Amino acid sequence: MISKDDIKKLGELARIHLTEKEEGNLQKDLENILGYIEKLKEVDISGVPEMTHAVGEKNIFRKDEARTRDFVLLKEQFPEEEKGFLKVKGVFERE
Amino acid sequence: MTNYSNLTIKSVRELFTNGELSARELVAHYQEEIKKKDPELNAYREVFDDAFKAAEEADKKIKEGETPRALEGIPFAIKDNILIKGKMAGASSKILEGYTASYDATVIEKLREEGAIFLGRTNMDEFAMGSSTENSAYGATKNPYDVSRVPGGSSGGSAVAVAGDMALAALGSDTGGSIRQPAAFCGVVGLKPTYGAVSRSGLIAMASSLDQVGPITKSVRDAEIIFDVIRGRDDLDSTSLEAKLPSGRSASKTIGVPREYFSLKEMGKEGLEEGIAKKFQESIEFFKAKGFEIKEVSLPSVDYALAAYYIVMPAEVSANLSRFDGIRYGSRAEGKNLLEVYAKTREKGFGPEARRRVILGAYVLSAGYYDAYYARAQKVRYMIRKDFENEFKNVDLLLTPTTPHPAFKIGEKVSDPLSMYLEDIYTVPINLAGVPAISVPFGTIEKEGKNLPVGIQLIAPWHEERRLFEAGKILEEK
Repeated sequence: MISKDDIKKLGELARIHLTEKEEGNLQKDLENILGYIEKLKEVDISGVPEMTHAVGEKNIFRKDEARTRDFVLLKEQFPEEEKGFLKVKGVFERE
Repeated sequence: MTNYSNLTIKSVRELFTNGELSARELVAHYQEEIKKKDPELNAYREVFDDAFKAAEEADKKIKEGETPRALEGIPFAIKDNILIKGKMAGASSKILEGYTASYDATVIEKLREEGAIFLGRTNMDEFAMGSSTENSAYGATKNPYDVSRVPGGSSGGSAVAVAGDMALAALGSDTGGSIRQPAAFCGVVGLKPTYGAVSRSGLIAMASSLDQVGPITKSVRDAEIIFDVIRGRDDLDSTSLEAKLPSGRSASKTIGVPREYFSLKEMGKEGLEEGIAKKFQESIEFFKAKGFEIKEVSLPSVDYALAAYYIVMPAEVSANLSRFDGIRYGSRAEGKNLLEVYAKTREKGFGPEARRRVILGAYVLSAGYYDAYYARAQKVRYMIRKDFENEFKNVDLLLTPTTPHPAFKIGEKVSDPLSMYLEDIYTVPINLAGVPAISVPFGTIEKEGKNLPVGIQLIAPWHEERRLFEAGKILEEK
């Protein structure tokens, strides 16, 4: 039902590096869980709408105003920083 | 001499105003208990060093004759996924190691405004994913009634803090039973409010259409007091609602018992255990004797609740956990390019259960599978909500056991994810429907020479928490 290649691909999509052993375990676990979920196929869902909200379904608006958080504390959380800016690796790589 | 283990918010308030107890003494008592018991139980991830200061301020106010606020000087334990400004918060995950919250969750702000004191943050299943607190990256929490057993989860640390007399009250979060199931396993009260009744701002999100914050306490009255403080519409959570006034009905008269709860069996191994069934029958007789009319009712779609939950929940998990990538906060792993930084950070930072659910969520949402899984699950969810709507036309409340069996052994289910998932079979339908429910302790049953607590679950229609408190208080008289 679900192949090891599928698991590999999902790992890439979810941005999680998986070891070979873990791919095997996940394949087994997902087979199990998806096997259980199969029972939903018994349900007659014809004409039933999708539930999209837990309670109430209306738009909530508020004024588009900036809110201040504690910027010092926020900045202290940066894993890497340079001149007060958050430092990350480049999105595009140079050849 | 104060009998600490029987204290409630109300009795503490009286002792404070009569000068028989001070907030400082109360905090000292809990810190002493934590020092004694927590090396074994592991309920707390961190005990805050500024609780004394807050206690002194409360004492000063009381001494000067100020009217004490609703929670003046009441010491709380807070689940590790609820942000307290300036304190570390980690959802018991390695990926958030070193993270300090830069703002208060709305529930924390509200507790603070009413004078609450924060003793520390409590252990949990990583990102609230689990039913035993074994999925914490910082070791399992143990059940004070039998340390070879789990306390339930994911709010296991909060339940043990209250049950083990290491806090007067606690906050937890409940996505599929994470407040009610540990409350049941530890013999304390746990409330999952109506979806939207309490703001989720500052709660580290797991599955946003299901998550709710709620209290874990020693009495139903305490849960009610705390609920009244934390509820209400909040601009920072667009799904939060202004609680409507309770409907005209003065008191509940009819209680429905869903017949499906007796027959829910999964994979041939999970069913209602005999000891629990007996206690449940006793609770039905008890309500009858108190003048309630008991009706058998039917929720035909709840048979499919857990299957629908294991599509909707991981789908939301995979989206919510994408923010943990080592870029803006938490731990970051080294890599030769950006992609590798993401993949390695998430490999090292997430435990096995978090990884499993992210992958499962990515699968059910991927192109070509949406209709087969997610859309179908959301339709089944609609049917489950309708079931509750229909039966609440006939009865005021529903009554069920909180769990099919008492606390299980540490290690018993951890290697089989599916059997762990089946733990939540009695609590998950409530989150899918969005209705409120409370677990109230109802005696114990003996197992291997130990007395293990049993929880009874009361369920009310949307925004009818009052009914839960009324009936819950009657139930706890027993």
